[in-house]
Formats: sequence, structure tokens, C-alpha cells
Amino acid sequence: MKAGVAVLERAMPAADDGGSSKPKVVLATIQGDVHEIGKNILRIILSTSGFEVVDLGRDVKVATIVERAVAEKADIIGVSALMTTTMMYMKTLIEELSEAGIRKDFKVMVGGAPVTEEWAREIGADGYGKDAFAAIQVAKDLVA
Amino acid sequence: MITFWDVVERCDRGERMAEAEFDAALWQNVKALVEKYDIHFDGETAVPSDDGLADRAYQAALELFVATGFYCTSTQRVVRFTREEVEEAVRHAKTSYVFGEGRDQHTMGPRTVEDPKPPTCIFSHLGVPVKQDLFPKVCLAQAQEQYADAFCCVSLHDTFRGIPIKSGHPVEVAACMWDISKRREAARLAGRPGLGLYAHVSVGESTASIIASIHPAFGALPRDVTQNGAIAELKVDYERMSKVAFLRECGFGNAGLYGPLMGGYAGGPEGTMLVQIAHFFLGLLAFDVEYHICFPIDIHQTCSTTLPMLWLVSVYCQAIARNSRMLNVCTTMAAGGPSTDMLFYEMVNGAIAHTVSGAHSVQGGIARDKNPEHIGTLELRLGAETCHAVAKAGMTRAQANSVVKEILARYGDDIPNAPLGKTFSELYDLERVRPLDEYVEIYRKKKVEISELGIDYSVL
Repeated sequence: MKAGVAVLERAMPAADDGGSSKPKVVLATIQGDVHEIGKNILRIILSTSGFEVVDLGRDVKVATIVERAVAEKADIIGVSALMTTTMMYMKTLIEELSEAGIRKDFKVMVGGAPVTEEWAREIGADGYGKDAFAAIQVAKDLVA
Repeated sequence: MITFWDVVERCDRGERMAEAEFDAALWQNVKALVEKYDIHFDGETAVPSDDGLADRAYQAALELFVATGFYCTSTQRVVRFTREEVEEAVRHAKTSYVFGEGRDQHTMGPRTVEDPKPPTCIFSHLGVPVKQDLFPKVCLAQAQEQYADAFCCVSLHDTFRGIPIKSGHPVEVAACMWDISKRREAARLAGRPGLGLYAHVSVGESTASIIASIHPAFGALPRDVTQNGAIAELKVDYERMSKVAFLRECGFGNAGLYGPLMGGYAGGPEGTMLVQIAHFFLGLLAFDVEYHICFPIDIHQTCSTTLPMLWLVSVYCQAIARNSRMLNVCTTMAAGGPSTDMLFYEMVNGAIAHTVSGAHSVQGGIARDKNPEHIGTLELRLGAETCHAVAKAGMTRAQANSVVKEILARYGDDIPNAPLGKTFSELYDLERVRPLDEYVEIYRKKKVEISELGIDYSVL
């Protein structure tokens, strides 16, 4: 996919950031989940839509996502899941951000096969993308 | 013949490669082989009758697998096979699978294109989240459907004993044991105690939870099934292969599960179709599976009932049926929700495409397989009845294409905004676990409508 991504990235015009710093997104497939294609596609489109993307990969522990988001001074944390049992870690992520007193420092976006808008609302996420393509507008709205 | 342990050794010793490099090789090989073998979706046909296309697709997929191999993410190595090794594995693939036991036992065998033998029909809402209190009732609703040769049910979601069910958490193990016990209880309550489970748990991802729930104390029959999924296109890891090490020796059912995404790694319908076929070889060699479950999905629409997806499904099923005796179970993934016209149409179209193309059929994913408690069984019933009617009538692929396109015209444009439909609680008498009269009436009307398009249900 990353190769396919490279081809796509070459084919897609880079967004003109006008010299200003790009909003930064830390992306990951959530703890316990190894299915990352949706996240990879989102990374491509975000990268070519004016965002700086830090891709942490798949099956990333919640603690690692929090640590890296802080270290990278991310604007958005984006997490995806394919399983109902792994999407529960999205809730854990938001709880851990709150517990650490840094919830307001980040916008949290969620997505993936079992994830719904209702779930995003229930766990207190800031944004939900029904697929990688829809998630772009959500990300833009979150940093507008 | 190459064994599972030979493959494990190749995972340990194969060529080391960065994952991005493997992805590049897959993408390039798919592209080249689609051209070399002249694989082309014409943008009009849903169910092709072109034997040459099916055979070229099989040969292209075989060449793709030999050229590309599969990727083990645990060792970051590529595992390759010779053409002879792959062909030998196909020759020795299992050609029957026996679900369940006793009077409820059902045997699934190989099918041919336009086979007059009805396919095995499996009822599944796996993926649709349901909370613990409703779970047993949904299991019963599915198990009591007489056309279900095996069943699967829904995905237990949210909490177990009030604790959130999370992968790798102790509660996942407990939830899995409870999950299978309720499915087996549902089969008993339906008067079908030996009905097979085609996926033995809904909520388990970790190896520990899968293995724990196979213990017979919790209701597992010896030939219930665990599904082992490729984690992405032609990729496996040791977590999945560890389950196989157990399944091979305990004799529990072992099926491969593959859902390549059209619009993802392999591009459009042509390339994704080749990757779908290549996964059968991966399943035999990496997972030692007895049969294969496929659920290719359009990445944008999250369903398999669009025109390109119906073409993809038809061609891959015909390729497998014409060139092997491997057991192919194909899943309908629908966009529409329960009790909507769209869902009935989608289930019927999936059933027709699977049946005439030589596959077995899962009446499956509903409302994009994600919306909590959006579950109905009457659409699945009509899908299974359609499988039987189409096979018994000896429908040809050309006839099937005509009917499928007519039905597609009634829902295709609505897929992006598919109606969500109703929930299980809105469609069922929860005390008696029976569909409400108004829901049965919708089913009856749709069956009449479909019969007027050329499906003769009187042969059932």
C-alpha cells in the first residue's frame, strides 16, 4: 500500500500551504488491531491535502499514541479499528487523555468498519469519518 | 507435499523485505497480470458467461501468487512457493466439509458453474454489534431459520458483566466462552441441537480467547469452525498462524477468511478479483484451511452489491469452480438495512451471483455490517430460498445476468444513501422471538415481486 501510496502521492498535486505551518495529525490503527488499509489511505489523502502526518502504524498501544501525540505536538489524533473488540480502545484513548488532563490539547477523530457516528458521539470523539475520503473534510473542519 | 511447518520455516527464513517493498511488488504484479491476461470489466455485465475470462483469471491469480508470495508481518519476510507446490496444494485441498452433527449435520461439497445442486446456505450477521441482553434472542432467530445449513449470529458488543470487552483483556476470554454457550443453547432451543457454527465466536480476536472457547464444556461441537483471516492483501502474521498450530492438532474446523478491498491495495475490480483468488492459495498454504470464506468489499460503499462488485464476485467464483474443487463460500455484504426494499434486493442479487457461479453462499452483512442491532432474518431467508430456487431451476449465467441487472436497477443508485432500516427490537416479538406480522408481509411482497422477475420459488 505504501508503494501504491507513493504512486498516488506523486500523481496528486501537493497542497499549497502558503508558507504557513501545516496542521499535524498523528494516525494509528488502535491497540489490538492489525487492519490498517483505511488508515493508510487516509494518510495519503491527508498528506496531499495540506496536513503533516505522523503514521504510528498498526496495533499501537493507547499509551504510545498519547506519548507520541504529546511529543509531536499534534493537532489531531486519528485512530481506526476493524473489530468491535478493538474499537473499545478508542474510548480508552479518550479516557486516558482526559485523565492526563490533556484532552483539550487534541482533536480526536475515529473511523473504521464497525465505527459509527453514534459511537463517536458516545465516547466523546471530536470527529468521525465514514471512510478515509469523508475523513478529510472532518479533519479540515477540526482545524479550521 | 509442502506442510504447514515448512511454511512456518519459510516465514522465519524467507527473503527479508520492507513491507512497502512488498506492497509495491504486489501492486506492480497485479497491474501487469491484468494486462497480460486481458482481464477487463466492461462496465455493463454483472454475471459474465465467459469461461475464457474465468480461466484466464485463475491462471493470472496463480501467476500472481507465485510471483509475489505472501508477506509475514511478524518476521518482515516474504514467503514464496513454486507453481508446482501451489498446484499440489490445490489438488490436495479438502473437497467436503461436514457442519454440525447428528440429524442436523450438513455436508458442503464442491460446486460447478450452473450447478443444479443447491449451495450450502449460511446465515450470519457477524460484525453487527449487539448487547449482551439481546444476543441470545438474535441467535435463536437465526438458528430457527430452516434454510440455515449452519449459522453464525451477531457480534457481542460493548460490555460483559458490565466490563468493556477489549481485545487482549481477560474479559475477552470470558465473553467468548459465554458467546459460544449462548449460540449452542439457541440451536437447542430452535430444535436443531447439532446445527453447525460457521464461526464459533463473534467477539474473539486474541488467540487465547479463541482457544479457550473451543473447549467442549462451553458448547463447541468438534466440527464448529474458527475463521483465520488474512490481515491485509496477501499478508499474515504469527497471531493467526498460532491458532492454526492449535486447530491442526485438535481437529476443530479451520476456515480461511479473506476480504480484499476494491479501491484499495489491488486497484479496481479486475485486480481485486485476482487478489481474491490468490488468497485461496494463501489459505491452503499459510493456514492449512478446509474451506474458504470470501467477502470482497467496495471500499467506498462498504458493500458487495454494486455492479463492479457483482462482476468481481461472479468471475472469481467461476474461476475457482472451473479450475479446482476448493470449497468457496461467498458472502453478500449489503448496504441496506433490515426490512428495506434495498436489502431484499441485495440479498437476492448476491444469492443469484453466488449460485450460478459455483459458490456456496453466506446471507450476511446488513446495513454495511456496522450499525448496532440492525438485524433481520427474513431478507436472509429470501436470499437462501433464492439460492435453492436458482439452482433447482437450472438457471444459466446469462439468465442470471439479466435478472440481476433488472434488480440492480431498483437499488443501485441508492447505495450511497442506503436506508438504515429497523432494529431487531422493532421487527420481532421479543418474547416469542418471531418476526412481527408487518415484517413478514414485507418479505411476502418482495418474494412475489422477485418471482415476477423470473425466480421460480414454487420449486422449493
